[in-house]
Amino acid sequence: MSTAPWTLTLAEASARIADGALKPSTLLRSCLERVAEVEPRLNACIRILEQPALAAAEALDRETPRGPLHGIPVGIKDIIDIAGEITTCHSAQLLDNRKAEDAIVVARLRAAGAVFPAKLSTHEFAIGGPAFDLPFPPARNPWNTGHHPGGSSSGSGASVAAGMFPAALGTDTGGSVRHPASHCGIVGLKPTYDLVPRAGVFPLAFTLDHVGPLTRTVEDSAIMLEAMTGNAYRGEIAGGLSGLRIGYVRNFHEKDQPAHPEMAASLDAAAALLAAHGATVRDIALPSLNDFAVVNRTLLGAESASIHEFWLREAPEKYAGVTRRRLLPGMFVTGADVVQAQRHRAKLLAAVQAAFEEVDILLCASSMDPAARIDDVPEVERTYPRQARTAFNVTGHPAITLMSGLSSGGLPLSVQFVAPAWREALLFRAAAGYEALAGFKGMRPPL
Amino acid sequence: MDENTAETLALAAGLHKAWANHRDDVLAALATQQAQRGRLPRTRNPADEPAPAWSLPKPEPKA
Repeated sequence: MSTAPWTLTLAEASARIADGALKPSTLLRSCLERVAEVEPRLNACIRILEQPALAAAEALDRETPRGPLHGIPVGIKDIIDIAGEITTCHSAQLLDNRKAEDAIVVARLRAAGAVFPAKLSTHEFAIGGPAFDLPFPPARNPWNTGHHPGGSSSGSGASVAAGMFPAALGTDTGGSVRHPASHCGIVGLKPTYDLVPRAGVFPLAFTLDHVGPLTRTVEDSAIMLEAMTGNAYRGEIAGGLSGLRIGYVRNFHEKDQPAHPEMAASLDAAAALLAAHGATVRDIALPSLNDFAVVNRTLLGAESASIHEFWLREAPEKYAGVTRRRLLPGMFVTGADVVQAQRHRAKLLAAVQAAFEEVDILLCASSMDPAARIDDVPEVERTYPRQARTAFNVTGHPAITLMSGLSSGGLPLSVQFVAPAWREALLFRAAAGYEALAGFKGMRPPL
Repeated sequence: MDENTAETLALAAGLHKAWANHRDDVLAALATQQAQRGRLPRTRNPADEPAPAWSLPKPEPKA
């Protein structure tokens, strides 16, 4: 029985392209057929770039494969520039914002042989969503289209989970790669702060923004990061769990923001699984999530206000209501607030650094709840800040989320691993070790 | 916060259009920021430096 190319993971597609069994244009056409099949239900794409992507793939058909990204379709969140294309940021403010150059990260992926078939839905300016009063509808969750896919990289999460593309780029300022990855049952990586260049990415908050890949497997995430940085990350990936010292951060989901029982149970199960297969797992306490969150919101508010103040003054009506409401508080942050937040940030960073004196990796929650219904505004607002991702935007440590089960409602559950700064290879080793045991690798929604 | 104070703060921030057309959003933003300020840990110790501390680029080590 033949396998449709769109069902392949990045690594599987890459291996077939390398041995001549699959052409880049054949893979792309299969992905575009999948887009045509599911996009009307998901709204993951702002624009489909069929012609330029096909032209690029057909040119790659004639080349000797450049490496593992040769001919791989990668969706791009529509706050990241592609040369010649419009970057709307999912906003009425930027409908004509055509860009002359690739973002650095896109240029690196292009040089590695990736093709770019779509600009993907986001929350407006990576902060305002889900919103129904914008020029483009919000993306929906492939596991249940009545539910939120997470955000702000909503289209990136929905498209990869649905099999439109093997990988996508997202951005993460308060968890916006890891949130859709958690809700869509895929792998989302926030690398160490400043590892991936942000030039050509519309900023939300300069000291908190990260660019990261969303993929279906941990190996695919490592392949993407290698192309995005030029570094090698797969050397340790099959190293297994033996000898790893893992700190289980229970206070996040047991005390600070008590998690949904199914999410809490899946975290306990993950800790037990890791311990049963060679890792040493011990409890470790970090400062309260609420401290991380208030530092994040203060800095995000001030930094984003510095970017949006002109539109907030001159054209506030062109934002979605939810975007306006999330950006306006930043206009009232004082200078002293910002510096106090930065002073507390130093203490939070020191606490996480101290934890890494005792353990190699942290295990903690990502989302505290399964995805809310997208039309249930109060529930979306209640669950949105109930997460343990923001902590690592504040400190800058690399963090990865992956699927840890399905809720009784059929929605993905998730865990998060965190590593010392610049230790992405170790992070991939731990995550791949868990992924191999947990039994959810590559699981696809029944779409 | 009373509406006169809110208006003063909104206009001082240059939010004339938002105050005129999206007043509830501005009032909510003021309330949100006030609550956030109350939750932000504040240090009185002058020795507590912010992160990232400002620093000039360091010279490359000599070979």
